[in-house]
Amino acid sequence: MKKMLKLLLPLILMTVSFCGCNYESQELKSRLIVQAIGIDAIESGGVRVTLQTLNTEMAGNPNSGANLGDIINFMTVEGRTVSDAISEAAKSVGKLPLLSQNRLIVFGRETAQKGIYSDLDYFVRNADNRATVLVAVSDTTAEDLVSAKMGESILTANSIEDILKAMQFNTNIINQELYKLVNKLECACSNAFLPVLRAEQETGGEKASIHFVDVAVFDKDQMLFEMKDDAVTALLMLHNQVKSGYFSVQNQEFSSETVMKIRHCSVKVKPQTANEGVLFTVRVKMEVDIAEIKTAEPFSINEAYLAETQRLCDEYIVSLLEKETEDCFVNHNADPYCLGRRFKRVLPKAFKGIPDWKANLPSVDLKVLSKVEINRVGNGAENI
Amino acid sequence: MGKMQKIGIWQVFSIIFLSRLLTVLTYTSIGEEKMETGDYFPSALFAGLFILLFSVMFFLQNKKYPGKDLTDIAYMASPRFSRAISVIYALVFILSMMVTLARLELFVGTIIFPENDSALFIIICVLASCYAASLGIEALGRVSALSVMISCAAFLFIMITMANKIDVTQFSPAFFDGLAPSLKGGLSFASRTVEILMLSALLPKINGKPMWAYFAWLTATVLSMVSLFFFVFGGLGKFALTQLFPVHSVAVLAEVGVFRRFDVLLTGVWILSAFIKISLLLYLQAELLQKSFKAEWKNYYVFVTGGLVLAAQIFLAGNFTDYFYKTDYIMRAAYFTAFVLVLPAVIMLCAYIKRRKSDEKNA
Repeated sequence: MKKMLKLLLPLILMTVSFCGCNYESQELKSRLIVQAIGIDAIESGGVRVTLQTLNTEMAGNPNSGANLGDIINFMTVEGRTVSDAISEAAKSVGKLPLLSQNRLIVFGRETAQKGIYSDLDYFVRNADNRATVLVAVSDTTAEDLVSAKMGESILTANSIEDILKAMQFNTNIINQELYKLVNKLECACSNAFLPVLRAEQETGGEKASIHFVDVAVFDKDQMLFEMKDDAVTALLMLHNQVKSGYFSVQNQEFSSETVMKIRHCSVKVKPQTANEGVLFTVRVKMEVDIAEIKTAEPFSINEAYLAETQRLCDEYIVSLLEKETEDCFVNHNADPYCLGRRFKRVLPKAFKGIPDWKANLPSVDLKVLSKVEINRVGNGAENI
Repeated sequence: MGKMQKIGIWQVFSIIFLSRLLTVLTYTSIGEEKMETGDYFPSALFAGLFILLFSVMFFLQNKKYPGKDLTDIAYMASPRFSRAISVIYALVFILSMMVTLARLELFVGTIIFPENDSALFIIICVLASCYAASLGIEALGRVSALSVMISCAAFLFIMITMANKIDVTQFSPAFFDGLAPSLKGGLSFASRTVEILMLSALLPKINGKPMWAYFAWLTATVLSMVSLFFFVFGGLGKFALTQLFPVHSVAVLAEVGVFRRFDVLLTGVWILSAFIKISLLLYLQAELLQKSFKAEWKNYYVFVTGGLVLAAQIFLAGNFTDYFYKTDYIMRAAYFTAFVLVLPAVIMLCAYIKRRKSDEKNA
């Protein structure tokens, strides 16, 4: 009898686990699969939430031949809070929202200027939401960006995610995941930053294209100023996130311009106290290739050219970091580079002696030591 | 009477390591002492020291009364006293079981099935634990020895696949707000270590030197805490403290190639550890009760207690889920000290006095 029971038990468990689900609301088709969420503050004090959701009818039957519409749907709802608006959206379509697939959270420019923290809490608290979801600011309203249509079978959220992830090979683009943003917002000595994106309607068509504009730097949770091009490169570099990309130097003696391709970049920051002030020694070690030499006539690379190019690369990096950090520290009293956090970690006693880190920023010194190695010079190296 | 079941040192280590690992895995900062991320490392080391301090009576018990548990020692003083002690420690284990089950339910209800009722899952878990507990300590030892290897492999895999996400700048300096937060944190972690009592109750069933298992367990526990804190705060930074279950949240950072969302691995380890801990607690309380009451009712003690704990969880869940969140670390430490240090000291003192008296009589 006991043996029989032991045999029956796993069989019963197997049959139970092989059966289907009885929860209709759990079926993927019955879920509101959110791909992107846009948040705009409204005058009444509430929020306007724009959802980009997957058209599950279409996604489930792509080859059915029936006209099931685009692959994505958009809806805009208003509510007192983000969760209120999302539940309003769920009510209007009769589907349970699924946030675990969300790729993007977007704040409108005005909302970012007013403050974003109160609207972020929903995403921090919701166990369904991923900590690694990307966050961005729309150059206009979040609704414009989230409801931008890029084509019938194109997932806009996917495309935006791809644009933001281009920081892996572009030194002018930076992205920010939710947990990193929250960490910076919670740190009194750092300034959070978010990428700014813009949706532009293509001329004569219904399609829109999405562009990376710049980087918004926040004071507490309110947008303070924006960083462009070289400033973004410096930001990426000081966060040791430069993986690949291009920069150019003006090598007038030999050519009008030499474009360098970054193969590897490592940045180490060492905080110190010097002359009763704060000094950060930044060591940049970079391996580059010569990607392009802009010349009017054929040009053969030689030792002198290489030495001069290397010197110019070092000079470029030193000037880039010193200039951009100074601009941030002196003109905006902002530390998006999280240098204060490093200083606090390494020299906690000295950090305690500074009453207000951000007010102290103009007196902070940065010493950049650059070591650029040119690895591959390409064709025309026969003279070396 | 059947032959007493015994387990080896490796199995003892596995069973108590998994049990303590569950406490680390289910760590939540809600209701805990507020600490900077850098203070978690020294607090793990302090926890090790506090656990050593809390184990003083266990050391004494092992030295003076080798192979005897606290009810056996109390029996030397008086059989009635022994009965009272077995009931008290059975209740301590039952409470620990309730807390474990409540945390599991909280995890299942918020992370695995947020939109469904988690009662069915909890019922299956308790039924499986009752069955495992009824099989005895040998079966539990064997399954733990296997599970500890699966758990370590899962952790190692997650740690390797998220190693590139570690950002040391996210750590705040240790002792930035002084020594007190780390000490409080250490005491708070240590006061959740019911495994000292488990070891004390398991002493008659251990084949080999129990101290080897103890020190291996303590070292592994402190190391696992330090490494988990390193990956949690190095990966997620302070954001981890905003999450209900920080250790689980960090697993979302792990990815290799096109594969991601390895949090399911942690979920599996978590459920496995909870199953072993609940089974062990059920087994131990039944062992204690059968020593002082009817031995042939052992399986009834397991299933009746299982049923009671399940009913408490289903009908009074809110209260028990909140039990450890609402109690501050001083209350927890006081409760823990009473059962880990004070009561064992009283038991051993009574046994000592009784022996001296009988020695004097005989003389």
